[in-house]
Amino acid sequence: MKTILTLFTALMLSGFTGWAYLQNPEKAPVRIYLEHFKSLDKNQLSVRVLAKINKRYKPASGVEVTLYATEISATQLVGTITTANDGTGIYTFSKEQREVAESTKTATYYAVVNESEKFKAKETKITIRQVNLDARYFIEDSVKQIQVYVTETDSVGNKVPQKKVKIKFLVERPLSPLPIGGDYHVTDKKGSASVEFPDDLPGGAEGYVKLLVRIVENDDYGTVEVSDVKQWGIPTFYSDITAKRSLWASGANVPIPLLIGIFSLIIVVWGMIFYMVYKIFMIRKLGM
Amino acid sequence: MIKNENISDEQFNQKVEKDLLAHLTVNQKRNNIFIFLLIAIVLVGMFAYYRQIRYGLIVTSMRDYTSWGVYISNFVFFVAISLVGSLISSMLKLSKATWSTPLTRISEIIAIAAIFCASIIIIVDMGRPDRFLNVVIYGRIQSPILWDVMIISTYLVISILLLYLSLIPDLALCRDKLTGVSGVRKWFYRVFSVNWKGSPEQYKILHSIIAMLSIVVLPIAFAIHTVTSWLFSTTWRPGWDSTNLGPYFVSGALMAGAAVIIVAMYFIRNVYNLKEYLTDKVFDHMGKLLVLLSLIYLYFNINEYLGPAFKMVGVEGEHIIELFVGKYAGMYWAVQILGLILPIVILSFAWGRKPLPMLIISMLALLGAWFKRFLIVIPSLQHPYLPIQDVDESYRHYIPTWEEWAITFASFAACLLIITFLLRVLPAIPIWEMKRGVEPKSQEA
Repeated sequence: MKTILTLFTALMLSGFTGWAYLQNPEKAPVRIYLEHFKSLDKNQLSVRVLAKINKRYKPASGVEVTLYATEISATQLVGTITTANDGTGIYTFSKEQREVAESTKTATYYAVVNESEKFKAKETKITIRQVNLDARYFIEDSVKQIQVYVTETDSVGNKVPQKKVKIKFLVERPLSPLPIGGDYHVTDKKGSASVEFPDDLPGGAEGYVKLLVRIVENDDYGTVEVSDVKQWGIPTFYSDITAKRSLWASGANVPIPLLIGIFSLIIVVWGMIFYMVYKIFMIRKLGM
Repeated sequence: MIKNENISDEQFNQKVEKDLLAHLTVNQKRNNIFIFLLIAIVLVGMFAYYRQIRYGLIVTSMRDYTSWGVYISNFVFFVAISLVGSLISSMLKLSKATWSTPLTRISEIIAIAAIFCASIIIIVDMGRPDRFLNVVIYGRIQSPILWDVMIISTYLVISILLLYLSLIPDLALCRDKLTGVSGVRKWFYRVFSVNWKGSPEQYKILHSIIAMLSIVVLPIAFAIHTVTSWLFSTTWRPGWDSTNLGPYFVSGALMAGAAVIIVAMYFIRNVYNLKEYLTDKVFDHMGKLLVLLSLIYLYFNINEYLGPAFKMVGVEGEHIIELFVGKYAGMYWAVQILGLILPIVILSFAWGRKPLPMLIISMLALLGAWFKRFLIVIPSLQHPYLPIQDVDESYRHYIPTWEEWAITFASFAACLLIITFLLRVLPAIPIWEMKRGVEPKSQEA
């Protein structure tokens, strides 16, 4: 009885963790969110996949998403991505795919999740139009300004201004970019929007800042970004406190006395432990 | 102690052997029922943990504010309890308090069970236990969390050694004297008694390493709870920003350790019929010790709360108000009065130091110790210095879910299960230390 009980407990302990992960008998319905991103040097399709698990939609990791252009067919295959832990995945166009995408005025993209052991099949599509985002960076009367023109090219090659398009002016920063001149601006009937660059923004060591102008998640254009680097910020010298040896630094910059102290203690204490274990073997030897 | 002191050493030793080995061969049905009950509680806890692994920490009430819930308060409680081993086997032994000799084995067993459960509960607190090794591989040596991992594993090994070393002569006795035990147990006694024959040379080595260990365990025992207190005091939260926290934690741990040994002693003496060894006199001594430790803890309690309560600065003041007259006031005053003041008052009288009153008082002290850890962890976390804007209402309150309670009770059951199991295979009282004149003199001497 004791043996059975022991075995049962051991099996429970070792097996139930894995069992917990494996239990998911039903195929989960999924939702796909597809977005297009275009900047000066790349075009991307980003997907976010949510799966309905226990009555809630949660990010689904490890889901294979197939991307197509124009229609769902093998000849129109763009590529395949697998979602990460947060349910997202990004596909970056190759040079050839980028050239094809830039040459069409309107493009349709499909994201398809095929039926699998875990998930039900699902597809979604987006259609985007080509847009011109022309930004000018200039200084007038000592005021630094950014002006942007949003236009579409018509069938004869004329640029047609687009009004009421939301524009964001940003300065690149670690973690997330900093908006300048308010959360967003809207283009006027000339397709233009502008913002003054503040005088008090810190830049790099020589005052360089990266300026971003974006149309964000627009129904017609997706996300479109242009950028440039200007010496408009206040030169700032950063002293990285985590680069010096301190208690609050990274693990690689541990203070030497602390390192010596801790390892000395470990060596002394564990040395004594091993000495005592050695003495136990001495006791054993004496009894032979 | 055995009343008839006039009997010969040989008769005395025979009686000691017979009495103290008796519980290892008797099949106690009550004991079996108790074990099955504990296993059932552990299984319920395992089911709750399965749910936690499957659905994530969302099944608990822990959120961005109270990110250390009942698991961490339980962990601190177990670490506190584990100090009982060093209290009895080191402090009292080094101070030559011979009355505590019958308690050493029990205290060492409790220490191992408690520190083992503390290690388990800290892994339970992790959302991704499979990443535990990352703490070691990618840990910052500056972080008290890493120090805690190091000190807990060291203390666990030292506690096992402390138990094992004083067990060797008794394991040899079990090997030679116990009949009718299973083959596995015979093998266990044979292998782990390491050819013990009780020669002067063997005794000499044993005494020297036990003495060495009794000294080594002291700084480690103080360090384990001090480092645990640093997990809090190095985190900037109201109630934790205190230089007093180290000794406050250590004194509280010693008090909880004394209380747990009294509770264990009461049940072991009755269940295993060891009244001649765990005498009223031993209870009396432990009662006095508990009063002393409670007074020390009271002193640090006053230090801990008086300063902030006098100044009432900002969030620290809000925290104090919540404890003194707010939503945690009932629990706070119950803990201070029933778990700290009452033991001091009752155990100061001789009638209060009888076994049954001491059991009740020690149970109250233990309950107080557990809820005190809850009060140290939870209310502080609900008052961050940098509150989140428009925070979800669930962040502001913390009421543990059934999964958290089930896992917490399972950890208690697991601790009792380990103690019960060890007491079924090991003599509860060190026989060789209770005998008279058994150690042969060394030839060198």
